[in-house]
Amino acid sequence: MLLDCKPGSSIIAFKPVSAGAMTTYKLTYFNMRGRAELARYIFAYANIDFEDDRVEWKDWPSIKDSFPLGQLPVLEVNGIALTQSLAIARYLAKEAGLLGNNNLEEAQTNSLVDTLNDFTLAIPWREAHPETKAQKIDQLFQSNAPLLLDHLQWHLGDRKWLVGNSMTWVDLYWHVCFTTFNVLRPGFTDHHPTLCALIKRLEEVPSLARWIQSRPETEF
Amino acid sequence: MSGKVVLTYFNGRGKMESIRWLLTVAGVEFEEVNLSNREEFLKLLNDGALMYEQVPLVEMDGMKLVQTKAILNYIAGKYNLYGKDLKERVMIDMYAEGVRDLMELMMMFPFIPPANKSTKLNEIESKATSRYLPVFEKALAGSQYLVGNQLSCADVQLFELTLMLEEKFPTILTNFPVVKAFQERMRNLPSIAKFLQPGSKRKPPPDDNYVKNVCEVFNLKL
Repeated sequence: MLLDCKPGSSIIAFKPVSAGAMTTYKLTYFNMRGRAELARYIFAYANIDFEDDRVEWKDWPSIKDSFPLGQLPVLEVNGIALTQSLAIARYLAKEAGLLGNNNLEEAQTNSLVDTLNDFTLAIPWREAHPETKAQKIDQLFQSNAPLLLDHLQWHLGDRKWLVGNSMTWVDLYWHVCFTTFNVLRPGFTDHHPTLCALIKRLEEVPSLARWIQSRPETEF
Repeated sequence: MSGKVVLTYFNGRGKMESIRWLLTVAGVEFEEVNLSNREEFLKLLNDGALMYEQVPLVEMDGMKLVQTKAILNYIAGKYNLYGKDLKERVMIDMYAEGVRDLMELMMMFPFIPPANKSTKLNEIESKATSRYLPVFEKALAGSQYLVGNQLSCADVQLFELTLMLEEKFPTILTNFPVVKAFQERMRNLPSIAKFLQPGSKRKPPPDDNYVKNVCEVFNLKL
């Protein structure tokens, strides 16, 4: 069931909608990887067509209120708006069979996605003062990153994928997060060989390699 | 960032190679000064740069460091590759020293008389398979690293050793699958993958030119 919510309307109706083979997807976000990239990875991996709608910063103030919660990303599924980046990704992962092979594995993917998300949220993206921002980022990578990486590496063990025996959406999220964290602190995984190997393994998947090579190049 | 790191040694592996490996994994850039003749070495001696009149010499952080182990331990401590406490440190030292004992035998190999080489090779292989590799096979069972679930200088040292052993005895790790798997994992570190590519600062195995160079600089007669 998807929530049919038109911004500005006073009625919120639950309308059962199933997304079938002819579903149209429109993903709206800024022109960056950010919180939309995981969804884009899943689209690429599962070879699902979607409209990659990128909003320029200068245009955002005038259209912000037309989006639920005034935030991006938003995924329109057959015209119905879905908010919250991880909910979007989780839905697409379910459609693409990337949630894990049973309920427990699904829970493990959710757990690791949340753990990666916690670290992402802890980054002081909006800190205005450059020195303070640099110091906070330094501290994050000094104190928190090793715990995150040790945890991921412990989960991975000597297997190929973070959860179970096949790729799941959390492996894709690891690549998304790795790419951005590596911009902030190049080489931050230099003491974690199996996590490095997982990055390489993901980059060897043809559909992902194609997306990574062809996507617009942005810093974040 | 603390300024340049400069290594002074021969243009070869010897005792400096472990330092090159550790600096590489620690992500530290370095420059090298090669001693190609005796004059250059004598100048270094006369400048008082060598505490015990020996190389390796590593200039870093405003200091002229000598003694390979002291240098390795300094780098390890500085770049978080020396465990998290004293007990982990002694475990790291135990493993690393074992690796170095075996490496020492291999380092001397090019300098021993040809008549003794075959016996020496057998001794090295035998010690490797009966005394040293079983220790690491056991230590790495169920663990990604030698000590404390964290990369340390002992892991880097062991990785270097596995490559050296395979150069002389290509199939020596067949009976040590855990060590082999460790070696495969370590290759995935970007710094190591890059160091293993041609054109890196890694030195080739010692050859006759290397032996000649060392003998000339130290005035050794073999």
